[in-house]
Amino acid sequence: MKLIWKFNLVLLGIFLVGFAVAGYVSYNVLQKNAREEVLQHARLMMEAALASRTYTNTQVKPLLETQLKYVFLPQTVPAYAATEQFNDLRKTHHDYAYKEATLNPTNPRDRASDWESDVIQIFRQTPDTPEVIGERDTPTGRSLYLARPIQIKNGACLVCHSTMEAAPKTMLDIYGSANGFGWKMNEIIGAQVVSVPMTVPISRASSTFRTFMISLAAVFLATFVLLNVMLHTIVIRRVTRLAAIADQVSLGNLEAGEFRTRSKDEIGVLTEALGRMKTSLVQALKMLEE
Amino acid sequence: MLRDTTWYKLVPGTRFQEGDILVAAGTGQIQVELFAGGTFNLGAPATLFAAAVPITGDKLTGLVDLSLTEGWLKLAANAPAAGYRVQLDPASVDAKEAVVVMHSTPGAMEVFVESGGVRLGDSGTGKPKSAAATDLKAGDYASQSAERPLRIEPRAPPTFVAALPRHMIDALPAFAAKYKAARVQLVPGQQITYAEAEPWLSGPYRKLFLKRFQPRLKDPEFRTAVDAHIARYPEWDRVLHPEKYLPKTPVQAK
Repeated sequence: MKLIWKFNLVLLGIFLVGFAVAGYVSYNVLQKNAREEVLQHARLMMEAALASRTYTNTQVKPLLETQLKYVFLPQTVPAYAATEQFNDLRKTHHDYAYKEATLNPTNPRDRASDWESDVIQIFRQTPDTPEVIGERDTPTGRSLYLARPIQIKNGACLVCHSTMEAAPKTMLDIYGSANGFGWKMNEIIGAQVVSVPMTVPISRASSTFRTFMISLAAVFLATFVLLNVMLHTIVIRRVTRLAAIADQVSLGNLEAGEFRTRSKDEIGVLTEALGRMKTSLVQALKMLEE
Repeated sequence: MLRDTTWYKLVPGTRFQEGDILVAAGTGQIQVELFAGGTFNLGAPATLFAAAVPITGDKLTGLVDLSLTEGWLKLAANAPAAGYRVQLDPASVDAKEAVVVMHSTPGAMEVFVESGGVRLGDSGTGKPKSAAATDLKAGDYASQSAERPLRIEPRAPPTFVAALPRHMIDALPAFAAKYKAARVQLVPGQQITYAEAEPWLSGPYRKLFLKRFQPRLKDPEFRTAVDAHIARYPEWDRVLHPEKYLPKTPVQAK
């Protein structure tokens, strides 16, 4: 096997292994980063929802306390405020969602779906679980959800949700008396669920991965070609010429050519050595003839 | 505002006193804040007569007696010792520490207790008595009319809330401190006419107005009108025709 084939075979092997390892590592890093980015979005949304709840509870509701005696204003309910805020956000970001999924809600729109009920059950069975993160397929693509438990820690919540008799009559006028009662102190009654689409970050990560791999392949190819050209020019061609002259000299053709070079590299040194060897050979043959 | 027999246009900072009749017209509102305790707000169209405002110094010394002949009134009573009484038709509302909204139309009334507790009683208008004194607690709504007996509900009905002047759905703001030092000079307007005085001449406080409106008899038009309807106000006959009531001189025997 020729030297160039051996060299190219090793080089190709190194390139392929390097390409595969780089691809595997970069793909995982990019996918992980994309998921982290989505998760960060979800956490930010969750914090925004909590901020909205706190603002409603501490600043909006006290201003409307008097009005609440005349008519129930859902705008004073933290869960309603947070949900409405995100509904507004969804007008421009359709795939994002926030829901205060509840097993026994006052407002029917908060009723937990099947998968949300499963998440709530996790919180109910393991109350120390601070949050649950998961992925699910939706009609618009893969989506990541972040869920945190809703636990009754404030007795004020029970004014509206303990018994029908204790609830504000104005609230019953709007939501009726069928749902949203029987809640107990410290009970986990639902979960705040933020859903963030993964399609965009994942496709962005895939695009980045593709670009990276194509660039890497291009670099590998260019390196491969350049090394081959250099190998041919610097080594193969010169060694082939030396071998041809040496071959002719070994067959007695002393006029085959001169071992000449201006290069000072290893092949240059070899050429000069061969040149000296040929000169010595010619002189030795002349002495034998005399 | 009618003070004695003269109309005045109210301006912010006007001093309120016993006997004043407040008339809120158009879409306006009138708020009265007593330094002695309590605030009430009148939502147009409404008329309110301050029959008794017993204040000595800066303390209430007795029951504040108000008469809401028509319109909306939101009262934030803060007089634990003396208390407020608002005469409606056909009931009265007694409140000491409560916030209550009242609506009065001829022969009908609505009361909603926002906070605290009030007592519903007879109006003292001379009309058939309503139910015996009834206590209302926060959140209770009571209504009564000539056709319908007293009815109490645990919340304000939507029709009541919809008709309520918008500002009354919130807590009454406090402006008194802003005007405490202000001295407002009211510009006298017209004198009360017979048509304007008539409801008071024949109303439940007719005895008070018998004395108060007597100076208007100098106006021939007013005098003639009262005299023409003297059957409605027989107590005025003695004022208009005192000669009828002079002691009869004994006829000397011939």
